[in-house]
Amino acid sequence: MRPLNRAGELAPFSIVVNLIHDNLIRQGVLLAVNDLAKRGLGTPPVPFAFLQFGSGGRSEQALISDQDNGLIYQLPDHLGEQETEKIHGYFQLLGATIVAGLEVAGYPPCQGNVTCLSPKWRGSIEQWLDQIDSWVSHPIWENARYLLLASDVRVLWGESAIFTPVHDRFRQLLAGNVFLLNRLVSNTLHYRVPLGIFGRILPEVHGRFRGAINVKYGIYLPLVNCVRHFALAYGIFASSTLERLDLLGEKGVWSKSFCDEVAAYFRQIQGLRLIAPLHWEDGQYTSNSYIKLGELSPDTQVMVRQSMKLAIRLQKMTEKLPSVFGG
Amino acid sequence: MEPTVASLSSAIDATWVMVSAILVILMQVGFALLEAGSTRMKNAGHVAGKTVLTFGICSIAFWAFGFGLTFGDGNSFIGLSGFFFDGMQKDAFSAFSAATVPISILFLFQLAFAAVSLAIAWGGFAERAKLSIYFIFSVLFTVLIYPVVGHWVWGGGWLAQLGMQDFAGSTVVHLQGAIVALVATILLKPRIGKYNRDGSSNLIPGHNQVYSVLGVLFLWIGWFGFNAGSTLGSTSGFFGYIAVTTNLATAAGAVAALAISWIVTGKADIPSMLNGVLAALVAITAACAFVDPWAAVVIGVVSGILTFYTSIWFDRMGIDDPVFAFSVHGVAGIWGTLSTGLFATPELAEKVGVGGPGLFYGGGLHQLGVQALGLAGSALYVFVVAFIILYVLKVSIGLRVTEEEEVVGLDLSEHGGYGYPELLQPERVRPAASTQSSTSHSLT
Repeated sequence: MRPLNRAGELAPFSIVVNLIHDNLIRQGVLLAVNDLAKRGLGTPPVPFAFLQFGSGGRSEQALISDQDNGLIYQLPDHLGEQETEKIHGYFQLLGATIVAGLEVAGYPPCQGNVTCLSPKWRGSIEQWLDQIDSWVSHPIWENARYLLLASDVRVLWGESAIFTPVHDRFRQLLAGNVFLLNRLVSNTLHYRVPLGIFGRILPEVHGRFRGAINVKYGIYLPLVNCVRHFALAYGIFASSTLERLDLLGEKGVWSKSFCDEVAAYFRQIQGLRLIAPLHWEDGQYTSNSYIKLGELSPDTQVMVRQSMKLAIRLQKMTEKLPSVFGG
Repeated sequence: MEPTVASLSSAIDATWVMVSAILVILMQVGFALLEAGSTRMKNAGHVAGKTVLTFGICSIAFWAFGFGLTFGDGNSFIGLSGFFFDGMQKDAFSAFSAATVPISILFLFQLAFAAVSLAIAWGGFAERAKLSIYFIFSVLFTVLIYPVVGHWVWGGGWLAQLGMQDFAGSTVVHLQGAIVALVATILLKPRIGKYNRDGSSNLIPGHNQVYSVLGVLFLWIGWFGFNAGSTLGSTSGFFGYIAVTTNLATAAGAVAALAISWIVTGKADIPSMLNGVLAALVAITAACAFVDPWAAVVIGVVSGILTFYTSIWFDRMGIDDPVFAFSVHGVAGIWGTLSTGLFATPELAEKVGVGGPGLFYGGGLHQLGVQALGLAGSALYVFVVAFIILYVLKVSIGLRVTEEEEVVGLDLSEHGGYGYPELLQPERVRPAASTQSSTSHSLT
């Protein structure tokens, strides 16, 4: 087989890959619900929604992806303490069953423990609202990271209306919040784009990934983060990078042509991320982020360099973003 | 006795050489800190402690045989007089006939040099050689390896007669130590976990960068004794000039190495900068008395860049040199020795009284040829003899600790306790647990 080394050819497949992921994960949730019922542990006692965060929330998962998910459910008014505990207990079990099932399906749980197994990412609407409030009022490094993760949210299964109050609160707390914006921006600007002086791409020097570059941390995430910061600052609450770019253009935050340029590179980088697992035969999650520079076609290498330049440019723009709002 | 001008001048010279000897011995502090900082925590006590041990062994062996073999009167290959040095006799050492300094001080000064060469060699043994090898090889290096090339260049041997310029020992001290390190690291094979199955190498970072930095600063300071002390006197004032060229080259090496690592890898790597400092010191060691200040800067810059690339290259070749001894002392030693063949000025060569001007100063290829010949001869001798000695040791008693010992760390396997006991505690039965188990014994 001719080596797949051109990012451009694979770019459109990213959409297909994410549709497949979505279906697999939905199936996983459904199987977990059925499993609990079969084991005599009951059916969902109240309406709930399964939330997808991170790359899954943005519909930007690579071929190999980990779990970033959560659960939210609606408690009826005037419920006794015992009954409330029972409902919490059901969703705790459901969360555990979903995470275990998805792990069997090939999605390792997120290293940062962002799954519906963790009480931070599973709760009633009220618990979620309190959670968001406390993160916003104490935006230490960890909480800023949580807020960024939660801003990439998508309801993958269940009733999306349940999440609406949380989403609204989020929107209300974040838009134009200069102090918070500063915290969020400084949370992500440490990502270093591996481009040296004279535009040389700087691959890894040591170890298993020698000669490779980390596409995820070196290009993809810097692009995602910068676009997200601008979107949040201007009150745009779309979950995927491409939607955010569209809206940034529509709102006139960025020029249409600039948005198109970023989107074009972003699509190519998405294609590149699909190539990564083909460069390694180990199937490991970390390998999924690395691309062997030497195996890319010359035009893809040029694209990689250009997108790195763009990422650096965006990082510089993002650095100045809080000052635009007087911060 | 009334002091005369001559006796006072000799006393001033002697004082400077004594101070220099102490400065060069201070370099052992530098090596202990640098090597311990650049290796892992589980080996720290061993790596630092063996510096003291081997300096002790080297001192005794150099007193018994090394000094006589290096500087004693003999033939153009080896010295054969002045063994078990009595501290006073100058007759046996015509190599020092011109020096006005007491022979006892010269002995100390030269001993410190031999010990530096040995300390460099240990870099190639780091983190996996048996303690017994340090005992045996300290003696063999000080008696069979170091004195031969030392005699050739400084003891009136054949390279001295040809006019090889190696002012303070880029070849004699550094290249010798580095080649032994290379042979050792080849025979010992890479450390466990250094290379992956696909041949790619893993970075095994040292456990304390601050130690490494302090070690290098100690070495930098000690080097003023090493180079400027090699004038064997101070009354002429030439030692100041040498200190200036030495410092210029080193400074340039530091900046160049950090810059090149930043440009090439995108990371301003501290260990790379430290390697550049040492490489520049090593290179300017041969050239410090022979070159102009601008040339010293060039020599330093080239060393810093060269060492950065060779350390990566040797690593990729499958040679696990834990503290980059060969890149820093070997490659830079070669470059430094050749550099006088390029940059030696006629005035300085005449002032020192060794060899002639280099290629860029109208000396043609002659001096460069002498330098290259000296390098080839020295390198060949050291490589062959070190290989034979270490190979025999390898097949007889073995060079390397067992896998288990290496994994658990040499602090524990060779010395019975960790250098960082609070952090790396071996499994121990707690008093409470032992009481419990004894109770259950009595019940059953």
